[in-house]
Amino acid sequence: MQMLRLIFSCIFCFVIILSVSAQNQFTVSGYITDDYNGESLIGASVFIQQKDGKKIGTVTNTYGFYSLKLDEGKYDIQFSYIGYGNVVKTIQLHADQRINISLIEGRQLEEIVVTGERKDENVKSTDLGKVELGIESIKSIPALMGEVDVIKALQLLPGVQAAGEGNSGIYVRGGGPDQNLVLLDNAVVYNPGHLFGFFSVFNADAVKDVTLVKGGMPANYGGRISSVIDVAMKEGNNKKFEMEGGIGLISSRLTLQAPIKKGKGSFLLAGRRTYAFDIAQPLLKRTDFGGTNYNFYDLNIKANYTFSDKDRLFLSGYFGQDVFKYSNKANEIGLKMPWGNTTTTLRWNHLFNSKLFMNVSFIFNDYKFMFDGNQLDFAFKIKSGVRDYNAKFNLEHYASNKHQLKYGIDYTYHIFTPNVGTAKTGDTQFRLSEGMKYAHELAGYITDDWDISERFKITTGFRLSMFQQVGPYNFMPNGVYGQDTIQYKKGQAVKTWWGPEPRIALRYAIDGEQSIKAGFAMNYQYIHLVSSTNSTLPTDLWVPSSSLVDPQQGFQYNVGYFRNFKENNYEFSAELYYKNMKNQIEYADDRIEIPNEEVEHSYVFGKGWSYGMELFAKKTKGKFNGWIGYTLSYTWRKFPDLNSGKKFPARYDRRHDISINVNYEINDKLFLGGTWVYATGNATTLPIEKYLVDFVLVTGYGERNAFRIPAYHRMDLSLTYKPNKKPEKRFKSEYNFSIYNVYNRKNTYFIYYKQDGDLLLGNLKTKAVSVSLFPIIPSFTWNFKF
Amino acid sequence: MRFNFLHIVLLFVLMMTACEKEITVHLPTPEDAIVVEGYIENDLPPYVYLTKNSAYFGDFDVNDLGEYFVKGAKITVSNGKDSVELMEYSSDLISLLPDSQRVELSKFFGIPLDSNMHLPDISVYTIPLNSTFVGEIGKTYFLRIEIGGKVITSRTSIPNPVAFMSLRENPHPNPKNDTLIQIIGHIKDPDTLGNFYRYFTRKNSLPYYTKGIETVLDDIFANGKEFDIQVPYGWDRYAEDQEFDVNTFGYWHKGDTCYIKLSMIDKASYEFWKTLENELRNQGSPFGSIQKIRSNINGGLGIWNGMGSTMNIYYSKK
Repeated sequence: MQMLRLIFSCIFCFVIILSVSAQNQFTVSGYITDDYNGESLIGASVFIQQKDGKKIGTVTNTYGFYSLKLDEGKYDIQFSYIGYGNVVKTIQLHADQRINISLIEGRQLEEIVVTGERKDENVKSTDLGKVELGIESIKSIPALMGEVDVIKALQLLPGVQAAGEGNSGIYVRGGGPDQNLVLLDNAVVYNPGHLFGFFSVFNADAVKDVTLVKGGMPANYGGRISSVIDVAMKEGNNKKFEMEGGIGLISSRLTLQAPIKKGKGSFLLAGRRTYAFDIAQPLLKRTDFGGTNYNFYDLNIKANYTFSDKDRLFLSGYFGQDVFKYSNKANEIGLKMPWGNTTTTLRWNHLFNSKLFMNVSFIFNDYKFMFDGNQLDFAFKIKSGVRDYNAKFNLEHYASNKHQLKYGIDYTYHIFTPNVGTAKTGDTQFRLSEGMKYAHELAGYITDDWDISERFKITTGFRLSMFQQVGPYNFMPNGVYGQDTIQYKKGQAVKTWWGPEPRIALRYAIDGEQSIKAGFAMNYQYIHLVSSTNSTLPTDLWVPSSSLVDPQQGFQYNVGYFRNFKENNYEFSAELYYKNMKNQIEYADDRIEIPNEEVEHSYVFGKGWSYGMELFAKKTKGKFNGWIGYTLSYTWRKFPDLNSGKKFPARYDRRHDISINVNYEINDKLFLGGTWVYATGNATTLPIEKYLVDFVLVTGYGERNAFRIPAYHRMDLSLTYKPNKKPEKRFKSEYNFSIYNVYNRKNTYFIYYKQDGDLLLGNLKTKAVSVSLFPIIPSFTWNFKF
Repeated sequence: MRFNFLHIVLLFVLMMTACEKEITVHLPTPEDAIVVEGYIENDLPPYVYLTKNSAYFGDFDVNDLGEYFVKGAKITVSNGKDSVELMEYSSDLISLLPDSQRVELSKFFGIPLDSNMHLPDISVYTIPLNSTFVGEIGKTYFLRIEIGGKVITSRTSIPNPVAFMSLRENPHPNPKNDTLIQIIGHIKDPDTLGNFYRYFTRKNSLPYYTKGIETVLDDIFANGKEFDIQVPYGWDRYAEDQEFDVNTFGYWHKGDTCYIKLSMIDKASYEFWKTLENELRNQGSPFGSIQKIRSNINGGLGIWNGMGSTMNIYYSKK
């Protein structure tokens, strides 16, 4: 703690020095919102053109706030946001000024030509490996069974890989799925997938914006070593009541938004539920799947209120659940398996003055898995999960036009439930309890965006993290109860780690259209999830760093070349990365699952490294727009206890990965979207030998991940028809017709082996069988809005 | 348990759309290895089978079974004090073995040695006819195999046997299957942790044990407890039309004489069978990760398995 105090004192001094620098300067600040619904616009740009031709500018933060420090004088300030009409304000600056601006979306403008100058942030910022996708561009991507999926949209970006066919799990630059920090309105979402990851938990109608940071994580993020997926929910229309929804093959959606008080506050309520299996019940009845049912739902709630010019409060929540049920009355088998996430975030934005913006968040999030099964006399109940109580205190300090600082503290109390339950046979009860685990996670950070000169910009950051597992906890070195158990009392420290995490990013602008960037980031990850399969399952356990597991460490080195063409209509980037990962975790390949043993006893530890090149080209405007991305990558692992200690490719090592996404506006009513993806086949381990034991043939495996399944490629198309473009008509509807896997490629989902024939009849044969999942799937969705 | 159910769920999802096709996969050739399968049980002589591994995709022809058997090995079993060099009995010599041993062999390996069935060209190593070397409870047994200049070793022990306190039957829950019953064993686990069980089932005049799906159990969460456990009847591996049916698998028939051998085994043997059965279950399941089979054999694959066994019999009334 003393170390932390020292660091904060230093930060404080630094801030004071920066604040007293300039004289006779004033600040222009305010919020930029969407004129139609009052939603704050994230990343909107604010700039002025100086007489010498140089631009001074900034962009809005997550809450739509900006602050710009200028010398006394007269200025034309331009406010712009992609897809929105520009606004230019002329001001005479001789005192601090608050200017709140609302921009009009191009589509609402009708006759007015959208001049919305494309921001050149990708060239100008120090951000490396950062991508922002607005919900509109996500919705234009063809979707599996018409279910718009924000996570799957990210999979089309270079450096990001899908966890598997139709899966919304992602691997970023050779990192595992547990190494991504998934946030929804600041709350961690521990299991971002429904139906084993085939759909993500984010209802696109409730989402405003998604940011992916795949390299060089800024210091305000931490706790994971691979990437950040930051999802921001819509705030709700604060001008008028709005309803939108859709009916699709798998699910239906309904979203309500309305002002609480016009211009001051609003709320949003969005729900989604599946019904495909409910409808299919009569069909399933006579099949082997009779008695099976499955559904999921999501509920997003958000409310916000602006109390004064300086204070705004947000309350947001997400509640989602998957439920699988099976019953076979004839044989007295019953099973219910619900799992899901809950997150609640309370945020308070406060403006101390035009230069100091504060956000305080209190967050509760909970991931729970439950299993309740019985067969005759035998009953089995188990639950697992993670629960966090989290508080964040963040300040954004617009110290001067050359320095923009962020600093804050982030504290989380984790409660881990690792397979706690009971089994019962007749009257005898068995304890199936590993015992809960508790931990404190604390971090303090500071970042400084420093414009050294027109050409040089540097972002330095430092994060100091601390993790402490605390009691009550019974430590069993051998994994066996009762043997050499060390008992820790409530709150007693079991083990503590400190992690200094320096981050740095540099930009050198060659000219207004080109820049070179470089960055380094070091991260610690204190909680872990290891999966034995290709996709994460709801049963996979999150476990804290403990006496048995050390924190994971990641070191990432990045360089990139960024170039915009034709007034930022075209963007191009090339990035190289090298990543080093320590204390990586896998399951031992000869593990024996013991129901009440701590799962950590089945872990083996090693190191990983990955490197690659990502090329990205994007056309941002026009009737025809889209992007193309290519990734060349290598991902390795080396574990003393796996593969005889030799290095092996990680499961998600993928040599080539190509994604193309295009949108074409045929006319003002018809929109065409298409994607094509290609990826080197996944690495997998194959059996190489068989032998006889007990007169049965058993299998021996070859080198780990030494085999590749065939390459994956697929094309999807979608056509959207928007019949009503008249702004005076409130009711608008659109029809979306999409085809998944247009040319019906039978991509291998997995390979399995089967033995046919009989050993004693002398006709036993072993075969390899490739299973592919989704053939060509057309789907239809109707969306409405009024 | 929960993982099996999860697999059902996932398969359910897959079945909605999935499609299969046979493919050709080119695999590297495995290194040659000797597979040991050896048992020593209380009051019974040791038996050892030696086989070779083979390439995964080769067809396995029972007529060539002999090619998989390793002959001419020098095998010694000792308990630290006494030792015996085992003798190799090829299929035509097995008939020389005393009846009691032949019966035990057939019970183990599922080859009805008394029948007129044509025996493949197999061989088994056991004590010479003039030896009385048998397993004793509580003793440790060392195995040493010399073959082609190579030495393979292992050790195992025979734990204290545990018997079922009682056996009873329960009717099948579905009245349609009123000829089927479940056998429930009542058992008291010894107080000390670290007891490992393996069970074998056969019934009536069947000369061999059926093949179970999950035949081993540890007492990690049942330590010292008295409890009921279902004893499912295994696969009759030579019966025709064997289809796995969740409604009938594991059930015995009314009127059966049910033989249940309960063997206490050591940890290494438990781990071998547990990982082997996991591996068999994972075969063909996309979601089971690879399961390497553990072994207590130094210099080879397989198992040297000590067993402290009891025979438990239940007579079901018609």
